[in-house]
Amino acid sequence: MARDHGGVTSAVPWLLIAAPMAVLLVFFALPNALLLSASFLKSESQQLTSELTLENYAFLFSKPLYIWAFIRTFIVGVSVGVIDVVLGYPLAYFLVRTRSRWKGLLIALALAPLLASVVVRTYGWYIILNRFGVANDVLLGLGITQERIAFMPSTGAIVIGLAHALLPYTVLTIMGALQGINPNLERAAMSLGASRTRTFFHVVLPLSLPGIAGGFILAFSIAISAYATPAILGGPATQVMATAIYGFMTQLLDWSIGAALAVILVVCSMALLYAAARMGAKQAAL
Amino acid sequence: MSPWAALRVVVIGIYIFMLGPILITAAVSFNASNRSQFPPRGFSLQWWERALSAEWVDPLWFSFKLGCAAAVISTLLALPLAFALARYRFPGRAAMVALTLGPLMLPALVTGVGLLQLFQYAGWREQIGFTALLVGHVVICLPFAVRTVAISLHALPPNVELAAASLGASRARALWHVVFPLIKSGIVAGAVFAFVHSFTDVNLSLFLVRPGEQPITVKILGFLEFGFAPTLAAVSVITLLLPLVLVAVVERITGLGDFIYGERERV
Amino acid sequence: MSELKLAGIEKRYGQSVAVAGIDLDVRDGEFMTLLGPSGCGKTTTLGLIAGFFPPSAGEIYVKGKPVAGLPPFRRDIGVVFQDYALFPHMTAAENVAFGLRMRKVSAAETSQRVREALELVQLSGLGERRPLELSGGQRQRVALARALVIRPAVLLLDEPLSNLDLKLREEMRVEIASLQRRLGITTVFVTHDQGEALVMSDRVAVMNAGRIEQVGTPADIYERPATRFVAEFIGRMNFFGTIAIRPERARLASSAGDGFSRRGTVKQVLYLGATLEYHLNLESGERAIVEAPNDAHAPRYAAGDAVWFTAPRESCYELK
Repeated sequence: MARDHGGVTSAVPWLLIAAPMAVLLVFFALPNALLLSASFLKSESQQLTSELTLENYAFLFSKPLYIWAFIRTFIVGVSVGVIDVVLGYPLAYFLVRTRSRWKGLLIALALAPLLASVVVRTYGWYIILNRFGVANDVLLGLGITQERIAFMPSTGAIVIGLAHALLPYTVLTIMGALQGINPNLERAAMSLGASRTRTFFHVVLPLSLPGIAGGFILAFSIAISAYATPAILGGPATQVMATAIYGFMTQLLDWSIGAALAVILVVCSMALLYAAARMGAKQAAL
Repeated sequence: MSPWAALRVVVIGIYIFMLGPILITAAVSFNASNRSQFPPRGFSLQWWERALSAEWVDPLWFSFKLGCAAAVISTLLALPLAFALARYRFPGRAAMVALTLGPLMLPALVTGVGLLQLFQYAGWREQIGFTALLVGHVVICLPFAVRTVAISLHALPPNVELAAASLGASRARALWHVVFPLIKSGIVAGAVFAFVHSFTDVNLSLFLVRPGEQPITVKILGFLEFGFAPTLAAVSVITLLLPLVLVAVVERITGLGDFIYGERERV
Repeated sequence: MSELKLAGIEKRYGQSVAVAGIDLDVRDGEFMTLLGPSGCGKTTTLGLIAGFFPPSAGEIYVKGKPVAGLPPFRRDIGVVFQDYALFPHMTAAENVAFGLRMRKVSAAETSQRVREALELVQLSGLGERRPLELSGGQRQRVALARALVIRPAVLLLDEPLSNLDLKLREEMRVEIASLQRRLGITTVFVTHDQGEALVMSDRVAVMNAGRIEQVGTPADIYERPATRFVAEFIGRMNFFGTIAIRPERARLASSAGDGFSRRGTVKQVLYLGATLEYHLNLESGERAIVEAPNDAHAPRYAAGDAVWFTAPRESCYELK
């Protein structure tokens, strides 16, 4: 039976969670369980049979197209993670330490892009990177290039678009980590003879390492499951896991393989989140 | 140049990177020609006119309705859930926490695919569209609402309810007169985050649409298959302005700042 | 020449004034305490000496050199913070070594001096522990060692004992004071605890609302307070117009003596173990307190008794 903090047993918590739990079980746990089972079932002429098999996974790991999709997804994830940490850290440090009276506005400005859907933000890069877009116009205009470059579709374009879209997440994570650092630590370092720069490298940076790792993992895990940006800035030759899943589910109508891909994606995400949770625990201990 | 001045320069560059594409999109929507030129040549409101035509306003309105419904339902479900998780210890609590945070941890894409499969195999094909979307959105928005309410509950002065009880308030009255007003901002924040999450979602919605019943994000995505169109730029700006105005208004009234670092709070 | 000199130091934050004009001379090797209630500006003054923020006006001299424009890492100071501010990602030894590393001291000399410093604060052998693994008292010693090992011209301590429990606080008071005497480092100590101030200091500067009310030896401050604030802040005081009498210098008697005498009734007797506190209502309408030793031979009074409040002339102090 359940206890509340008065030490009295009660059925209250069960009543409270009944409705939400039902919703989550039926519309979250169940669908995912269905996916998991579908990934082990054979598909024939676009219909799921009840034959257990591992051939769906085997298929994915045997075709170069899909192996490349995995690799590309991974490369995109790492690149986006790295870029976002490199760009996000200076911004986060600035926002946490600045004494400008526009501090609130600046923070809002850094987080505001999150209010626009990924589609919208990626569209901006579409405008910039397409053959007749802003980037090419500028390069031609400045005489740097003679003809229009196809910046997209390409893996690089996907990386730029995702790095841009996910930057606010790393900024938030690192800001959180920096705020947890006792300001007296920097004063102590300075009183002991460390200049501002040396204080940063000897004290602030090492202590914010868990935040950096957390920001990287967050950007990485969102990047590997991204659909819209790879779909818009990439193409059939630059598939990632999410676009492949979409293809299987809605075009090829092969539920089994699509489900298998989804399961692989989920396993990767969970592994990352587990790593992030360990990071978080380490930070709390500091 | 002092280290701080150098940092300022770098930060300006980062802001340009972050806000540039959005500003360029907005500028391009006023282009006189059918091209993505920047700086735009000529000024025209024709794309904005088209953006406000039924073709685009319908999905916009659809997204808005969907978002409101998802926000309200998630918040209603989140209240008892957050209470139970924050106040009680019961067997299976940890599992419930995991289940609640699940939709946040798993890619929305996968949840969308799973729901499509469920609806098809349960014979609910007719419900694919608004109903399925609503269900999916509630599932992915629920964690946001639960989180903010839980943060508010944790932030309550610890003995406030005991004080109310010692002054003669029954459990229900204590909840209504003391606890509820104090967690109001958490509830509102949760609803706002849920709305924004629903309004901007594409990964899950992708799989649960049907012609005539699609959110604005999916419609824009579909249109991009056909290449560039300045109308899309205008529509994009509108879809950014809506949540922006909402958040700005709510921030003024109850404030959202406390809930932004929610990451670090555990339910 | 003074080791540390503050001339006309002011610190304003917008409209509020934290430090309203301070002049102070600290002699070489002296233990100077800044004593005052919270909000009096003592911590701000320490921060100004350390260079954590610039003064709104005035000048600071360390060993005769003006330093007000210099950042902390260019002043010859060592600081011990109230929360110790030990670097959590470094061991105790690494914490202590930090200042030496910044000064590019050789590895050999560094490890030698770190060992000596840890010995000085009686933490030998604990160098490899991290701050998390140390008790509050041990962390405080590491903080002290870290500030001392760099041999600063001026040592600054910001209420370093306030996070310790009573027994430890009293122990550390004496230890820090004797350590300072041994090393002879000019020290500025900030506290709101008058016990600490009286026990540890060569001189005390009593602060109130951003100003120094009096600078003097502990005996000066206690026995010859310059202002009513100082008289009230240190210990307790009976006031009769401009005449001030310490409760322990007054006595209860059955008749008026020579010196200061007033008639009154005992309102309340507080039993404090080693002493008895008599709270009196005097005929003249004032209240008074007399502190008497719990002496078996002395006469005892009870609530309601009619008594005389007396004090010899030497125990009456005239406030200016």
